[in-house]
Amino acid sequence: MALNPGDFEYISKIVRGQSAIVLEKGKEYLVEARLTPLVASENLGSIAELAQQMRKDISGKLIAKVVEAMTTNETSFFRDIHPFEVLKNTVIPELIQKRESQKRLNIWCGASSSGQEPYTLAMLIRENFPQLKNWKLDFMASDISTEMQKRCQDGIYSQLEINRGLPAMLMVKYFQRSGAQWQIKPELRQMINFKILNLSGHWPLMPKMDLVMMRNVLIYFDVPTKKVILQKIRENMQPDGYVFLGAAETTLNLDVKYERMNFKQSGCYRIKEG
Amino acid sequence: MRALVIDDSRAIRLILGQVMKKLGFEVVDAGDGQQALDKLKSDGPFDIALVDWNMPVMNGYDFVVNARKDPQYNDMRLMMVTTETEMAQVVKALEAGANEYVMKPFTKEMIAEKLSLLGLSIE
Amino acid sequence: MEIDFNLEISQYTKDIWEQILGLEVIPTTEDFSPTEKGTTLAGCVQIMGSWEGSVELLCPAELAKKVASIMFGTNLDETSEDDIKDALGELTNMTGGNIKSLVHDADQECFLSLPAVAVSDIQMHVPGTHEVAKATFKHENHLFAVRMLKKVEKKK
Ligand SMILES: C[S@@+](CC[C@H](N)C(=O)[O-])C[C@H]1O[C@@H](n2cnc3c(N)ncnc32)[C@H](O)[C@@H]1O
Repeated sequence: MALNPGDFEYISKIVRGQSAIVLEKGKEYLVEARLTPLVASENLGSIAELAQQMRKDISGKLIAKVVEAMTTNETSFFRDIHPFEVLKNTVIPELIQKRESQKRLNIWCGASSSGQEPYTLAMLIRENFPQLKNWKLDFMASDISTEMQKRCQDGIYSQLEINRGLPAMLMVKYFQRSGAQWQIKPELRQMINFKILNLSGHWPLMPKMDLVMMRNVLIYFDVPTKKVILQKIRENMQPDGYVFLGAAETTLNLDVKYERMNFKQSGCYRIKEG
Repeated sequence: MRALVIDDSRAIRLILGQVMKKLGFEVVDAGDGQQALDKLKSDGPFDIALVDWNMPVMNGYDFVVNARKDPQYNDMRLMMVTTETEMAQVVKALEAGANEYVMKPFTKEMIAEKLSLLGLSIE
Repeated sequence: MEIDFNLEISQYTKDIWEQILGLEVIPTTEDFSPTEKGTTLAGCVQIMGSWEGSVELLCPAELAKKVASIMFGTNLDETSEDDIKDALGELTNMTGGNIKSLVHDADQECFLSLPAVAVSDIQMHVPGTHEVAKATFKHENHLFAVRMLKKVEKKK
């Protein structure tokens, strides 16, 4: 499906305005690939027609769909493995010790995609820290995409998804078969509060987080947006909390108030003291 | 590191073998469970065996049971790579001593991710 | 829950062909009438136990050859008959294994036979069975189909 330069420019401007996702020149192929299915499901003839409809879209519904279609939702259980080892062996034990008197822990996954990351964390907690069952655990997972939020809530995964990174022991324990698919058991689904939250928009009032997972999402944004988001994370965090970024992400040259923890390939950061 | 790829399909032995080689393993293969037990003796030790379930002569489940009887293979990881995808089968394989489970069809990433869960990724 | 077998077969088949072969296959409503040109090969696996029947992969010889050449990394003209049988057998095995997980009864055991591959006469009717589902797919200009046959229970 062809895409003319004017429409590409218009669509990237809208997507950037709505979600901060940057689509530079050269990403025309991506826009084409992602929007072609939407063109079909909306019964439109071409991307040009879609762009035309977007210009008339007062309700914002179509634009929201376009933004959703342009998000990259690639994820997997225990993605990159190392961060989860650090969480298990160091970060969560330390947080448990520090919060022992309040017995309260606030966790946030800021780009949850289809849910593999928050559910990985939930399984890791159930498996290794059973004492947290008696704590007040405030576990929020959010994404800009309505469809992803729904997928998180359903917790239903295809064979392909279940095959990726999920230890067989945990599959057997925390999933049940649902036709051709697998579903996370209710016990785990109920642990997490799934929300829609646009990181480049207004953030709701949140409790001060002890642990923030913000992995593989900043890469889509421009530098000023990254700076603002990193700063807002700090403001919404406990001074001794931790943030995890994706393997290709860093706070370097973006926010001097973070320091990188010296854990193997984990993308773990905390706020500098003083 | 060394891997034993066990599958009755030559095509799968080839494909899985190539995946493992790309991931840095030296690969030996076997066409059924009995052959695999023989190769353990003649070509071992292996760090991991990738095991199909349905095979002639001796199936992969029986291979796992037999391999786990011999303490000399305790350190070898066993990963089922099979088209058997029922929860009950997964449980059965794990109880028999399999360490991981991949449901066919597989991709290179899936295999790599599972290997790193088993602490066998080469970095 | 009522399972839409055609839908599930479509999904599995797409996944298998894409992940193992890197080929795009599209479900189609066109009818697969392979008698028109060339031979058709049939891969077949039996399902035995809590559900009894079989799963067939019907594939034109030319496409089967392409499949084998991809799996074995060989040129089309050096692909042997054995390669073709092995490759088609394994695809049938994967398809059948996935379908088995949909039909079997969780409390009972259910087994998959080893795959068999033979030249097929498409009008072939397997006695004592009825077709539960048949999904046809298109890869480039080739059509192929997956059939699911259930054993008819004998009246006592
Ligand atoms: C590649 S996924 C990352 C998933 C997971 N964190 C991981 O590392 O595997 C990126 C996610 O970020 C979401 N996203 C993109 N822009 C966003 C925004 N402005 N606000 C919130 N989420 C956004 C997308 O919808 C997508 O699900």
